[in-house]
Amino acid sequence: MHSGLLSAAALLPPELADALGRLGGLERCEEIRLRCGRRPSARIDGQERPFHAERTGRRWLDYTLNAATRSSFHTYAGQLREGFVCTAEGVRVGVCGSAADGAICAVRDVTGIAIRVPRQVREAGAAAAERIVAEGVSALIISPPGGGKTTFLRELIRRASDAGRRVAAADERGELAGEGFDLGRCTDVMSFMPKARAAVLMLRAMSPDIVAMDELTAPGDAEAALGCFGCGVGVYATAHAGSLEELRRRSVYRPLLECGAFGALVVISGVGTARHYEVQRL
Amino acid sequence: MTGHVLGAALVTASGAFAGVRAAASLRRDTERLRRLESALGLAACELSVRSTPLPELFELLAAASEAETSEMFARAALMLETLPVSKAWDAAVRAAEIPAEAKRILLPLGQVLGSCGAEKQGAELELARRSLRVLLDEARSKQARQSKVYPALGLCFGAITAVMLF
Repeated sequence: MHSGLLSAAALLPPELADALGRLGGLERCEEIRLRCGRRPSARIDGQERPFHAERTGRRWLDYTLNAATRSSFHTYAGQLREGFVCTAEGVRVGVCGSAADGAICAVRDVTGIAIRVPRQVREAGAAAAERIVAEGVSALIISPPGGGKTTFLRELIRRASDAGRRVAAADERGELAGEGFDLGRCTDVMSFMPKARAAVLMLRAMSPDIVAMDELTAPGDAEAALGCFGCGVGVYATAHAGSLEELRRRSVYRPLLECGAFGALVVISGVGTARHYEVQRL
Repeated sequence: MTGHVLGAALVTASGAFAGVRAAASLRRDTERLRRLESALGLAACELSVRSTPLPELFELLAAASEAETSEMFARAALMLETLPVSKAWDAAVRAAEIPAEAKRILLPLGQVLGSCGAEKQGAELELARRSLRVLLDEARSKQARQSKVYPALGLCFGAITAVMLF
């Protein structure tokens, strides 16, 4: 198992970790899911495959969440309010369940957990990343959810950074810069701060050549990106979309596309080792 | 004759010693309750101000406390490495050399510690602290009343026994 998978599996109860270890194709596992009343499953090559005969109950959910939070729900309350926890190893654990006052308030309220398996794939979209860094353009990376955007963004940051460009990474969910991930020799990271604010702060304080933001979803994120362009700073960003046409239909992204600051659009398609990275000029 | 005097003195001294020990036991219980109450106060503060993760919190409390209170938190920290919070806390409290009434107050905290927000945990800790303070006040009153009586009673009992024997 690669280190990201080991870190993810370490959050599971021993009997589940053992069962997961016997699953074929495990090296391509992208996500592990625990849903109350359903069999635990692993997402491999785009398919969810059950890996244990028993259905998930309170005990497995509590164990996993306590492992992710080091038995300290209160320490991670801020992240849990946003629906996730990020461990020190960069494993993002999404949670859902019964909310009270707009937030999950206790371990017992959680009924579903999604463990995203982190992986640094050094050659992920190597040709595409190489081209973007060589051309010195800003890039918008798109794919449907779970399509490998964060993995590619990580690789793009590393290559740009190692080529001597100062990169400021706004790592809102702590996924980009988890333990063991190499983001390059010239990268600064702001973790667990809303990315729009992080981008502004790092623009002022860290003199970046490029600001990297994962998952632009809100108008504030798009404004922050425009602000970077206005300061002459490049942007690497990701967004959920399957195509340029889909992107154009969403009001959040139209200002970004219309301003013409992004030089390249990277469309990621396919699954696992069969991913395809298409670079389109914008 | 000398032997009788010596024997009487020893019996009397034994009685006095038993009385002193009883008074010391009262003092010990009061101190134990005071340490526990103080530790819970520190825990509530750490949770509310710094959201200290539970493993570190137990270690901090073990270092900041003394005697049986320190041992209890050290044991909880160790057990947390392999057990869920509720079981680690339960085992640590049950093994602690603290009054039984204090254990009854502390045990329910295992269902709350680390499993909800800092505010809720703080509220439960404060509730436990108040209950401990009631016990502490009772122990202090009892100590004030009995701490002089016990040694005197012991001495009297010893003397009477000595007279009866010799």
